[in-house]
Amino acid sequence: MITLRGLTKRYGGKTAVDDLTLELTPGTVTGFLGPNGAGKSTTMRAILGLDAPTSGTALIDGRRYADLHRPLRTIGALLDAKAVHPARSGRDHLRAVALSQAIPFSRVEEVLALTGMTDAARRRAGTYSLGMSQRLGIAGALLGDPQVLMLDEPVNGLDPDGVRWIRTLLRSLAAEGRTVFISSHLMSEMERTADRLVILGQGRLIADETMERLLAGAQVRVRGPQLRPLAEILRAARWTGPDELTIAGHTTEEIGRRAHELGLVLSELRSVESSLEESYMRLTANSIEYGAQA
Amino acid sequence: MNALGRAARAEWQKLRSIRSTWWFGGGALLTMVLVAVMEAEDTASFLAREGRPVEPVSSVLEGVEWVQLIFGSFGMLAMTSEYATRSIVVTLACTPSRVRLLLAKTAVVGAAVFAAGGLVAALGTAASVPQLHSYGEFDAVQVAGRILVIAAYLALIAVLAVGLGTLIRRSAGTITLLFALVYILPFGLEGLARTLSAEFLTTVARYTPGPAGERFMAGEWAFGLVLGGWAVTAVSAGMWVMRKRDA
Ligand SMILES: Nc1ncnc2c1ncn2[C@@H]1O[C@H](COP(=O)(O)OP(=O)(O)O)[C@@H](O)[C@H]1O
Ligand SMILES: [Mg+2]
Repeated sequence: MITLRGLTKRYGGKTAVDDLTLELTPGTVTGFLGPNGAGKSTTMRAILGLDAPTSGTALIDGRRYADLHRPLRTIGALLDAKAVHPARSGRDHLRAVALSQAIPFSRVEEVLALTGMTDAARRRAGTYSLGMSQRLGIAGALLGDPQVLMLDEPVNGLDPDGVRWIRTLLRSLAAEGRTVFISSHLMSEMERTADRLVILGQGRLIADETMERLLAGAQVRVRGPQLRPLAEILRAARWTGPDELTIAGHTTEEIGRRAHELGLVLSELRSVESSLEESYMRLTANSIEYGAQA
Repeated sequence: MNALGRAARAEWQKLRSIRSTWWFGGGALLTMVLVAVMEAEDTASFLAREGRPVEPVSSVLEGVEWVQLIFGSFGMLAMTSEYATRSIVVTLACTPSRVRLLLAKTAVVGAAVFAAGGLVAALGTAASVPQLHSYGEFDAVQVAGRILVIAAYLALIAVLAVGLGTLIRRSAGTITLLFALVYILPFGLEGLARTLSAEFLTTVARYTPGPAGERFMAGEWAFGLVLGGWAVTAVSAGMWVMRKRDA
């Protein structure tokens, strides 16, 4: 379980993560979504204690990363697949990691087999394609058989087979009751993987929804002569016409009840389908950072 | 095994699994033997005229001037290559305690260079023996003692480089600083002492890593502590910076 409380990270004057509070629960794949520069990697670096938070805390099973005993047995992470010494073989890389956690070398062979890297393990990591580096990184994250798994853009560089493989792997890890936390800047990568989506924009939490609910399209279109009171109490409501509101994240039943409570006359109340991609674009539209680097 | 032991085993695994480590060792050996043999030839022809006795390790001391840069670069790269390749991210995930990580790196680099430096010095001595033995006095115990001191000197230079590499993080800057500390600083201070006629600066110059190391290898043990002080200071400063700065 990962718990973030008021996590804030500033680099100089720039706020990369802004007061993020989040709890990631076992048995779920949580997708961490946001455009490039939203602060996803920074959040993950803070969880691993690589960057010190400006304020707030990031805890794993109630403890700071630095206080974990043999941390890789609690949480396995992949932040940067290319962060491996290019002159070292994949197997030697994993063996060094294993020695630091008192994990037997036989486990290295297991994760190499699991990630399909056995044949490439003798080669120097500098010769690996991005997809192979990703697999090696995932092997490293799985090495300690951790209850929590955190992967930054794991699908990056994988071919369609690789994407399918990682999807199945992550689903099965969550099914075993583990906490899985994966980031992406593309909604399409999350659609068939995540149970829950946490969306970040410019360091701030924009949405935290179950996939079911987001998939339900959950946009409600309301028309009526006097909708202003409804717009005032629902933050997610947008004017899409002079007498028309579009509301995300609520069911038609909820909106109907609210309208009734406010005594409003409605001329139309219906749910409109929008794809996940559209919901995502809409949610992050205001927070895309122009000219930001990845 | 405790956490420090695990970190040290991982660091040793990392060092031995890259080929450049063995190139550094081989390069140091080759350099030492070449320099020592040439120096021994020189000394032998000089002694043929003078007829004074000499220790066979004297030619090795000339070689140390050269191989210390090799071992220094090796120590530095143990740290700066982590930042250059970003593998520091993985290293810190495995060993989150910055203090423990640096202790482990220092111990492993120090021990490796002590062993390799001792071997290189011993082989350099052996290579010098044919030219010098007719002038030499071969007290095996004394020679072994001198070789151990040379090994300790090289290990301390490598540890100093680990500390500087942690402070600077980049190779170019680190090697420049190491070079400046060992070679340029004593000359600079002495030059300054002359121009300002400030005698105490000459004394200070004697306590910089290069001259202190020379006196250590010449048998003045106390100067080993001076050099050790430099190495400990650099590693401690590295720990402090590592704890303060983001990875
Ligand atoms: N070390 C750093 N120094 C300065 N700014 C940084 C640093 N790391 C990240 N940033 C900035 O913080 C913001 C968030 O970056 P990041 O967490 O990498 O976003 P994401 O992973 O969502 O693409 C970006 O604007 C980025 O430029
Ligand atoms: Mg990122």
